[in-house]
Amino acid sequence: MSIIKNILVLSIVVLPFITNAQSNDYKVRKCYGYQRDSCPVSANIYYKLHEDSRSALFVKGQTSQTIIDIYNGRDYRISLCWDPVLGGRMGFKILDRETNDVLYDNSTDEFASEFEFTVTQSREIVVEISVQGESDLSKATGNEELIIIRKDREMGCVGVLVEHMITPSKGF
Amino acid sequence: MIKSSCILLILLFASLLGYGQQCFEYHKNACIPPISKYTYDETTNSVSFLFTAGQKRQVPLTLYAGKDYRIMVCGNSIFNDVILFKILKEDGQVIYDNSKFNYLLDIEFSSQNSQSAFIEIEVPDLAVTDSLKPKGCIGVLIEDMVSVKTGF
Amino acid sequence: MSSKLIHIVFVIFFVVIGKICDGQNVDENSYNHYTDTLIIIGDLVVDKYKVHINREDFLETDTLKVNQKGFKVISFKINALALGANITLSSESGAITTEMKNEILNERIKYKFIYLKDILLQSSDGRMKSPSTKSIKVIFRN
Repeated sequence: MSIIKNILVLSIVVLPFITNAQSNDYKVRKCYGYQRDSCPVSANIYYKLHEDSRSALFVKGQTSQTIIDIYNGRDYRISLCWDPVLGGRMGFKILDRETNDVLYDNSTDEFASEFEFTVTQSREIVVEISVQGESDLSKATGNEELIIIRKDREMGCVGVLVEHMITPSKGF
Repeated sequence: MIKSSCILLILLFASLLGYGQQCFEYHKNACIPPISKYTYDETTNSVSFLFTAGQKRQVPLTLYAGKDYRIMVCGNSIFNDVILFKILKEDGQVIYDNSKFNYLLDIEFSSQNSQSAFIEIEVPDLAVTDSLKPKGCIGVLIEDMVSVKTGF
Repeated sequence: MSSKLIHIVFVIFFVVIGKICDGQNVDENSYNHYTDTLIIIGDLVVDKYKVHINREDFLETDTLKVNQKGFKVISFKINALALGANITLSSESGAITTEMKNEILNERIKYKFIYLKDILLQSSDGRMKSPSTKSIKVIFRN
């Protein structure tokens, strides 16, 4: 009888932890923290992690944008990392949010997965990520089509790591 | 004569029922999904059957927009792990065929539209030396979850 | 007599120091342990696709050199990228032009890196070839 009582008490204590582990799974599902775990940081020790770093789940062929504030007198480094299932290279553009001008396009930079720049004018920029390739979704012609997106073959996490520092002085 | 025929019929029926009973909720114990970073819930569409070699069956599947699905097919070892598994539209168009993917028995996917579909299961017609074709259980575990948002 | 001796010692001293400090006078033979054809920026042999260098060291380099005896750079391009800027400048020799240096020193744009591209080499007997690394990313440390 005392053994049964002990088991019951133990279950009551342990059960909340088990159910909590299940509910915390949403973080794993949304690629939460992927950029922190997978994107290599700059070798320059003066760079600090920026709060606008983020990750998201992408489908092959998908394009998505995120907004970042950048300030005069600061240097920024934006680097990308992604699940190998999404291919060998990633499209990456930076646009001026107000004018929509393309300020940087990594297709002119050998599809580099990182870009460092100095800001001379504070503004809002749009970081646009384009996953190469096609999925059934991007090939679909109409809304009526039954489309299934294979999660193991056509979806993966993309991380955008943003680092910043005070612009160092240059020149003589 | 009639009495003995009835007894024979009852026994035969009972034996078939017995087989069916063996497969009851077979999918719950036999279908163990692979490790995934996603957490699914079993749906009431999950089903188990008694299959005879060479048999083909369809399982209705209603897909909803904004939901992700994991379908796993598991079968008795008598089928040598070769089970044909397809997903078809209502009009019969094949949108997934596991014979193109090394006869993998599980798939995870995101549904973009709400539509009716079918899962088609077929087991190979095994060479037999006697008149009785082998029978075995096949389970179809269907699970779902709310789709993970894609993009930022 | 003693002042003359001191004078001679000083002359010898400065000649020796001058030879040691002459960074431009690179002995190409000293880089022959590299089997690839590589570009040299100042004293830096570029054997990778990416190289980190102080901006001053790059600007103090007059000419791009080659690690293989007899070869010289006869033309190359610089592609400089910054936020909102993308410029390509050409040189018809191995010399880093004044225009290139002025662009790198541009206070308004502040390039953090450049690419050296389309580098063409020629030997003393007229043979042409490209270096082993077709495109070099030069990242400025400051």
